[in-house]
Amino acid sequence: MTILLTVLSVGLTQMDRINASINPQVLYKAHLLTNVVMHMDSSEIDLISEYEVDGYKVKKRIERIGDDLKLIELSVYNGLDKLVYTRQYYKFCGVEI
Amino acid sequence: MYSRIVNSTLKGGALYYVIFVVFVITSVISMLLMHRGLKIRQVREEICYFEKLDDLNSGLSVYFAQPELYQETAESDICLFDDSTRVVNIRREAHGLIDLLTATVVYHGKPVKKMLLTGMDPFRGDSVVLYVPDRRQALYASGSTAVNGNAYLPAKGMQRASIEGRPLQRGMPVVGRIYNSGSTLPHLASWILQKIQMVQDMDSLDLVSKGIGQLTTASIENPYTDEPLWYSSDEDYQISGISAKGRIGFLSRGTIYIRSDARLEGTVVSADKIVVEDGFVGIVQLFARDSLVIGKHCEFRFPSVACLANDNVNPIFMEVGESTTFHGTIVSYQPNLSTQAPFLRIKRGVMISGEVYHPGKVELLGGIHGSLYCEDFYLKTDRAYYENHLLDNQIDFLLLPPHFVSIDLFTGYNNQIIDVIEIDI
Repeated sequence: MTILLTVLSVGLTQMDRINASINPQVLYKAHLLTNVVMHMDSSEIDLISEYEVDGYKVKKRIERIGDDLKLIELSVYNGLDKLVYTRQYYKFCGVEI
Repeated sequence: MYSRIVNSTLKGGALYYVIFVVFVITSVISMLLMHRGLKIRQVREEICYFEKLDDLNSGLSVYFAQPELYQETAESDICLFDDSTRVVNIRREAHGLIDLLTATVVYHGKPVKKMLLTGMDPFRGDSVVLYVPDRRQALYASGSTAVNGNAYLPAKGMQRASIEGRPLQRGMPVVGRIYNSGSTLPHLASWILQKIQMVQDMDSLDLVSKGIGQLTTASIENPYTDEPLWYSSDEDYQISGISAKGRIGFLSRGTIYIRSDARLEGTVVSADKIVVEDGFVGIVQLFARDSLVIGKHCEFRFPSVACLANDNVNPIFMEVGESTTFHGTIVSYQPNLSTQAPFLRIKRGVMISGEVYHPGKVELLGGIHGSLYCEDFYLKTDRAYYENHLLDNQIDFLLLPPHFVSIDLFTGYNNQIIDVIEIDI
């Protein structure tokens, strides 16, 4: 039984590492990281800038949609370079909403 | 025999013990898995909620980027990222001349809303400090007159002059680009006229308005999220000793007197005649048909509106009293002109921060930080009357406060936030 429990817990931990999206802590942390990165200096339009935060890699892509509108995509990767979380939003250049 | 009995009893006990231990372990594992499942679900719900908040802001961003696409209808659904599950509903309502925008997304069947008071960013696009249509006349500047910003003037321009023994102090009366104006003022947008008509047409509001007699409390507040609350009367009345805040309107077919002890914040007042007592302080949108008289030393805080509009041919008149400060928009409208053009008197010491649109004659003794659109100027001194002369006037677009949000009188677009009213989450 002890062996069974050990195997189960190790299995869960590894599964979390491999498929991070089922790990709530990782998912939550990834979202918080995007909150940090979204306020960092933006990369140039249509280029992807990368930030390393707490062992995670956050990629920020900005695409110009119109004169005053940008699409911003933030992707968070874990230490195994596996995509953990993606966040998309539009940003109006004229005013902070 | 005895040892066999003991042996089987021990085996039976061990079996029960094992079953008990397995039961406990299974329960613990089940609870752990259940806890984990719930935690995952909770975090996913939270992430989903944050996504909805992002969608609210994204929807408003898309709207502000191209507001002209959504002018035809009061309500629009904006689909984000080509994803039909991420839709933001934007609803536009008028509160006086100001637009209320409500963005709504649905989260687990419940609406999540963000409500904004919106206007136009005056610093984007063409900025105009002065627009006077070309009637083959010249304008003249004397004394300390200074016009700073882009001006649309008659072909004869603004010339240096000296009246009342006061020659123009600076070299050029206008500092900024000068363009030739058209033969008429730019026309008010149909959306603006609709808003004015909506406020002035009491019959359309009768169904939802209360008699002024029902106003018995000294303090009333109606949030912008609620339906507008109108108090009406067929006779003259005065607003005195009360505090009114939010989506509230006062209507009369006669005259409304606003006393200085009234505390109005965001309120709309509509009547044939409106008289504001000296010393009044507040945020108010005034809509008069015949005359609008604002007393001395008043303070109209941003975003206030003074509107004089009349479809008939009787002369209409507006006056802003001495040393009054006005932060907002002053607009007049009379499509069928009488023998006398609409008249606007801005008295000495008045400071208007914002925009003035007056298709008539302006007697300008105060200053304007912002824009002025008018037909012509009138000046009366102890000695004489002058046409199209400016004496000691400052009209400066560059001194418009950086936070100022104007009302787009010509297109009716919104691309700036006046105030975030409420985030209903």
